[in-house]
Amino acid sequence: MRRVLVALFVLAISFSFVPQVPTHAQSNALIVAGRFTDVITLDPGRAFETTNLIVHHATYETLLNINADDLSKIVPGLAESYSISEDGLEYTFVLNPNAKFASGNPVTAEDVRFSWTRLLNLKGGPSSYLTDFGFKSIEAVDERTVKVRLESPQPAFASVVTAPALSVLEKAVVVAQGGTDAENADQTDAAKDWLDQNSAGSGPFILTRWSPNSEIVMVRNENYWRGAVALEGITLRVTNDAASALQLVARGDADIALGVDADTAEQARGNADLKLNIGQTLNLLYLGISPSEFFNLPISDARVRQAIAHAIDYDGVIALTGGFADRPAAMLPLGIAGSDPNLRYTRDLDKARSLLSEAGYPNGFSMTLFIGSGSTAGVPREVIAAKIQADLAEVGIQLEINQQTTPNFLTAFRAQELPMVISAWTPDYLDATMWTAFFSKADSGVSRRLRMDVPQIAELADQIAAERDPMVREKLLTDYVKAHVEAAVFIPLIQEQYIDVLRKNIEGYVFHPVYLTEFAGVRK
Amino acid sequence: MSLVRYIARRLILSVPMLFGITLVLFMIYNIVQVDPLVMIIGERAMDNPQVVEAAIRKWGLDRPIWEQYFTYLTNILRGDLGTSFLTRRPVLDDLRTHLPATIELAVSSLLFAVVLGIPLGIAAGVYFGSLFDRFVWFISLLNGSLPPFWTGLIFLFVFYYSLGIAAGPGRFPPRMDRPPAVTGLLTLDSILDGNMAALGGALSHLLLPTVILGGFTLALVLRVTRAAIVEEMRREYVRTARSKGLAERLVIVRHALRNALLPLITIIGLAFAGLLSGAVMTETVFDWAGIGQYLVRAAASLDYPAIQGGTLLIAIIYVIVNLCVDVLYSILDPRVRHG
Repeated sequence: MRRVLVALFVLAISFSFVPQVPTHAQSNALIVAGRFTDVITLDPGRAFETTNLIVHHATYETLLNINADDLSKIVPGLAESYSISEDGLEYTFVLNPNAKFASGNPVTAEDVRFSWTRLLNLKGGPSSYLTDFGFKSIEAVDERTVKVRLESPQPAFASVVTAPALSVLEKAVVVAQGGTDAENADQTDAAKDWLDQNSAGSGPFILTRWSPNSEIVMVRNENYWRGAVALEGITLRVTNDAASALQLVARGDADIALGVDADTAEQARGNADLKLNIGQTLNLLYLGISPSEFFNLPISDARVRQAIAHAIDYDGVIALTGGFADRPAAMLPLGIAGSDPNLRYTRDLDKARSLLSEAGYPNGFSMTLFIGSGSTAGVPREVIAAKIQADLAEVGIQLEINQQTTPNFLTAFRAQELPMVISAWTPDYLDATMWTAFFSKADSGVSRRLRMDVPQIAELADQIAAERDPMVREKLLTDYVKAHVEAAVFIPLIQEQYIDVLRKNIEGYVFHPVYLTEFAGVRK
Repeated sequence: MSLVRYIARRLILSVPMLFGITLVLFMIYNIVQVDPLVMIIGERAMDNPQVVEAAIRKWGLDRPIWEQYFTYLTNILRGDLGTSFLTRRPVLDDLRTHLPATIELAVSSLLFAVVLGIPLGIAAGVYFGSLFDRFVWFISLLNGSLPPFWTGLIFLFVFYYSLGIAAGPGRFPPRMDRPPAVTGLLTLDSILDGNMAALGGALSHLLLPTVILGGFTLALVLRVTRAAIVEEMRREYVRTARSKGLAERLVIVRHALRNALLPLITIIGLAFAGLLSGAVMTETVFDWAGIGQYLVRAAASLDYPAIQGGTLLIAIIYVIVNLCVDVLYSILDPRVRHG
């Protein structure tokens, strides 16, 4: 017995001698804690999730950019200039002569042609960046000039070009790894495995490793053509919840906790080593109410939908996020020209009741509200749904909540089977068409799912998509918002704010509503 | 029956079982009426007929069900578990990526449970009813009834966040370079690399999850050992051994323990198989990128190939562990072979 106890004692002692604070090998690398579990691939031609935007914006570059400080301005990227033909069908990009890949080779027009053609022919999700905009052809006119032709005029195209999916890859490297831009690239391209673990771009960082569900490691591009950045590298470290991300930052094992919830932010406020960075996203959570007769429900009457819009306690909904949210009047987020917060619905229960009486439902009615899983601004769908349920009960509308896993929910939503939903929308590029193209037409987008057929809104959306004069466009957008408020089919509940927790010594970090992060200027 | 024939017979018997598992799995996922395309190509791209068509062709979703199953089965026999809808990587590669983390944690938890649990269980059994026994019993009850996700959070908060004396979540110190991947087991890779600092880093991160996860198994091992020893110590042969004048230590180790080992091996085998199939809660709390987390994510997004592959892996683990248990059993007690 004594021998056993001695052995146990020795074991216990030896465990406690394990070094607890290991040496810091990458002292000047930035460790970023966050969820990052959505990564499927890091091949820019195939990735269509969220975290890949962070990685691609750090390791690759696009022809044009939109900076976080002015979302309405398109600035040069790899292209030093661009021009649009009179008829709006031809875009000519002139590459910056200094632009170089991490390998040291210059970025050429052929690299651009290859990258975009490959994206198109891989036929994956992100190929829609080109196909949705009537992309017809791309041609490398000479070493530095790229000509792109479209089927129809697309004023949004310049902002689409800033999407990380349209990044420029070094053709020689990708081809050497089995990549191809051939017509049947979806069957024959073999560069994915390599691009999952490496990058072939011209950005300030180079991807060196991705361990799924664990971490993504990038190191500084010493050859960066705009001059090497201060950080030695970036490691994106996967944490499953904001609480453990906060612990890592508080203990100094990480420098930034990305996208935490309101409770965690409050906790961080009390810590002198930490500071908050709050960014306005363009992500919207909305209540969608079908106006269609198909469902044979009272909500096909516009007055009933307006009554619902007047019955919601919007301030109470935003309070659920800890106050880290805002809301626009319609599905056009604040920050986009034409989005006018003065047109928003406000809570007015008397108005709601009189609208219901007018429509012939003085005592309300009952129906089902469908939701998926997941959360927005840290608030789970079921919590928002319960809040809406309680608010509408005050005017006699009894909601039954039906929650499903997201795939089931989306399947039914897409099949046009759900009369009332709470769902979310996140932009991929910064142009009003990112919303107007999806929330307006009877035959496409989210509006199709709710069987919305409002000709006035559909016409305005067409005019907005074709209008090139920014002043006229802004006026059209304001009309569009008004029409949507009147229709009361999509009622925005939350425009999410993104909360990052930083250690006090981190400087130069910028939140970007589409790329999420700008790491190039970070110093510690 | 010789031992070799016994093992051979057991192996052959597991083939139809595994076959049945694939059939059941396949049927379940074909009854669930959800469009897998939503997960494969993402919500927005569903509006693009070109993308939809390419995906249907690529994943064989346009072929009849029996043909899909037949393809699935032949692929398994060739070692191809299909490609995950969610990660779009071969399922086998995904399992290979996530399994080392789980193995590392499972082995260290089992070692922790066995090395502490058996001696403590023996001691408690021998000194049955003593203060020591009651103390050990209480601790094991506590361990076995507190859920690991709760104790995990508390331990992280106290020992990492507040006191800073233990390493935090994750498998490795964030600011340290990982050893070159050979086995995927960070401890073993550190040793192969001759990098003692990295080994320390990996061990320090293993400590808390091992105590949490192993603690649960420890309680089990301890209770079974104690109960078996208590029972064996009352038997006639123990009295005989004692009356021969055999030292008490030999009575316990050579006689009582040997018989107590039988139930213990079953429990340890099952516990180990359970640990290897991924401890979802512990893996989640400690950001441990293992099989458990991988499969939960696969299940939440109806990623059939990953669920099928993962379930098959777990089934194989159980078959192998059960086989080992039975073989050990038949060595310790040859009567089993004739049963």
